[in-house]
Amino acid sequence: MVTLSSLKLSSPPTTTTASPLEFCTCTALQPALKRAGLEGKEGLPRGQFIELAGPWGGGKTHFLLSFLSENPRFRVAWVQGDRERVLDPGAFFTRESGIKDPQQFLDRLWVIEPPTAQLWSCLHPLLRSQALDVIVFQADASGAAYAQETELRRLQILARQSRSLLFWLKEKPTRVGAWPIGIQLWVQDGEASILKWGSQRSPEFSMEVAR
Amino acid sequence: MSRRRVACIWVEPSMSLLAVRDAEPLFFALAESLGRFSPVIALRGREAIFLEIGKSHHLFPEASFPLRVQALGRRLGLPVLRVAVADTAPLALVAARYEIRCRFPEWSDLGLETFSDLLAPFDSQPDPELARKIIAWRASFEDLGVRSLGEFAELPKKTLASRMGAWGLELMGRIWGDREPAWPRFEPPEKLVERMDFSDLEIAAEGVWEEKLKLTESDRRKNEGDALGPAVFVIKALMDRALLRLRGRAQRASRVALRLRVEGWEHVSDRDLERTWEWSLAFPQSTSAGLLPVIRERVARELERRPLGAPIREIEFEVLEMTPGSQVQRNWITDHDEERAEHWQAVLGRLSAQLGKDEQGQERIFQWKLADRYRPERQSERTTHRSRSVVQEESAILTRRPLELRPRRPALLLRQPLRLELAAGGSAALRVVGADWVSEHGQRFKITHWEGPERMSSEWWEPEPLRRAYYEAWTQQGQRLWVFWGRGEAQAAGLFLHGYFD
Repeated sequence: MVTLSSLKLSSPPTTTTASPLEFCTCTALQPALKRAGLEGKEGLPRGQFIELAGPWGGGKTHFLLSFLSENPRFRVAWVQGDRERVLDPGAFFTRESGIKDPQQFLDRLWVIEPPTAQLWSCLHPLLRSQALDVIVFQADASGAAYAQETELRRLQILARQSRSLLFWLKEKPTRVGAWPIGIQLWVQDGEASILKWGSQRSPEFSMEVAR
Repeated sequence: MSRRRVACIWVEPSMSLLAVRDAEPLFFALAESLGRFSPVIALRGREAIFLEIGKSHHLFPEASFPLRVQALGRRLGLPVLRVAVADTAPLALVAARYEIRCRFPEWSDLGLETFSDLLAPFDSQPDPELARKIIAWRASFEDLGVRSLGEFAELPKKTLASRMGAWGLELMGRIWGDREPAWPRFEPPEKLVERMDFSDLEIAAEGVWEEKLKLTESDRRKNEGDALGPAVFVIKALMDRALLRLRGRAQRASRVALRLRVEGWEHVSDRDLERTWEWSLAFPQSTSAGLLPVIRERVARELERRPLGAPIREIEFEVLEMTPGSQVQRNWITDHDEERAEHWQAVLGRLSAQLGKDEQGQERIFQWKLADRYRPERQSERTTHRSRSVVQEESAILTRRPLELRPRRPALLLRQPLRLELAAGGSAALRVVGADWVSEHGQRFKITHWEGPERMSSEWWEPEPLRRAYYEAWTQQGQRLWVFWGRGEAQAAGLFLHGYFD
């Protein structure tokens, strides 16, 4: 498990979000924020491109579901670029998911399964529409391999302009060319930790990737 | 009162002679041109076309209808068309497909494979559940010595309900022409055409374009060196008119075509008399500001390569496909939620048109609806944005069950359960802690804790009911897996990974 005890931020981190920052409540992130010395943050800032990495079965989706249940008015698009794994709506209808009104949650959740050729490009109209609060992009290893730095930069700009939260769910964190990604989180054993927040990067990040 | 008469045109033999790319447009062209006989048309995949011609007996005699259709088919390049007329669509289909007359002694020799045609005449690929049922019925009737439709039709009606349920009575009704399913009506896609004809103008004369189009000096300067010449202004005017019409109907253009027809001078070959370009737009457009540069760039480039041999006689701008656009007049003062929802629906419509359908012909954008099924992979169904209002009315029993009473379910399911095998050298039975399991894809899981089982089976009426014992398994890598002991789809029993508590 990664701890960021060694990461002491002397000054507030510089982020690429639109000003003024608007934070969305995320209780599941509070322990990680505390560990990283970011107590002032109330949650996740809008208009961010957030990478959520961790092993499958580590708790990424659960982290997202708990975040969405805390923000019940959010309109969500779930882009399934994963050819093997699919989201199971049956999981929303359990007490463990933390979702109080699952039916209402299903009504505001749209699932998109784009063809491989349009895996990344379909995110553009979704972000440009400004009709969504959260877009979750789930890609398997082959889909993630197509991610170019310029593509990520485009998405970052679009997310900032539309003030939407763009989550990228994947197994391994991006290390090289990840600068457009505003926040990088690692979720394992159901616990989230911060790998990168704005321009601040965990010194243990490289170790984590190697692991 | 006119009698109900249904004609079926079995197109499949002609389709099989054509390449896939050519077959589909021809099929729709035939369906559209059959509108001259009757406006009530339905399609069965790319195989057959149905027409209700009972009300058209004043237009043409029924006996001449097959000849008229075959003549039309020959003109379109579809030489083999089988036409049959009957009282209902299922009977007309059977008659056209098997080339018989749809009177009793004629169809009595047909086999039981016609069940699917009679029960689902408008589906070239019937619902998989119905298809499975038909296979089971055929096997059981053949065991009883009932091998033809004639023998089946003589069975007493009262025994059918117990053998086949409601379908039995429905099937009998369809054989005797008493019943017919609802028609999925075919409506040809709308096209919007704007055309400008210059045949009455002296095009070649310098200054006519400018005069006609009221071009300013700056327009002329912009136009300098463009292969399209002043025609670009005509194209823009046509485009503006077409797109304005669409905006009035809250639609946008997603596929457009431009056609230039030139004067038939001697040196111009037939091929060059008409030049057509077509664009499938990734993002549907509602104004010429976005569309004109795309069109201008491609047409100008191609005209530089192969110039027009004569002056333009006619310019035509055609919108071939439209998708829903945003509301015409927005209410900026109140009701922002409604406006936002409408905007979102427009985005979905455009994106849906862009992404197309998947390999199974399903929409790529959908919402989930829970279904009352036991098998985990069938507990959710897709609903598209078009049927959203219907979804809101429905509510599966499962969703009404209190959350406390519902068992834990993983957030991510695998489309196909993955077989897990014990790693080489490992020796452990199920639920032994510390055993190494390897998936078909080579992923290794060292299980540190097991929880379960939760026993689950599929519905008793499924042809091959499944029995599975589900476990939650924690791995050394911090993963929580959902595995089951039992049979996967058409696989031998074993341990399978079915999901992740992600």
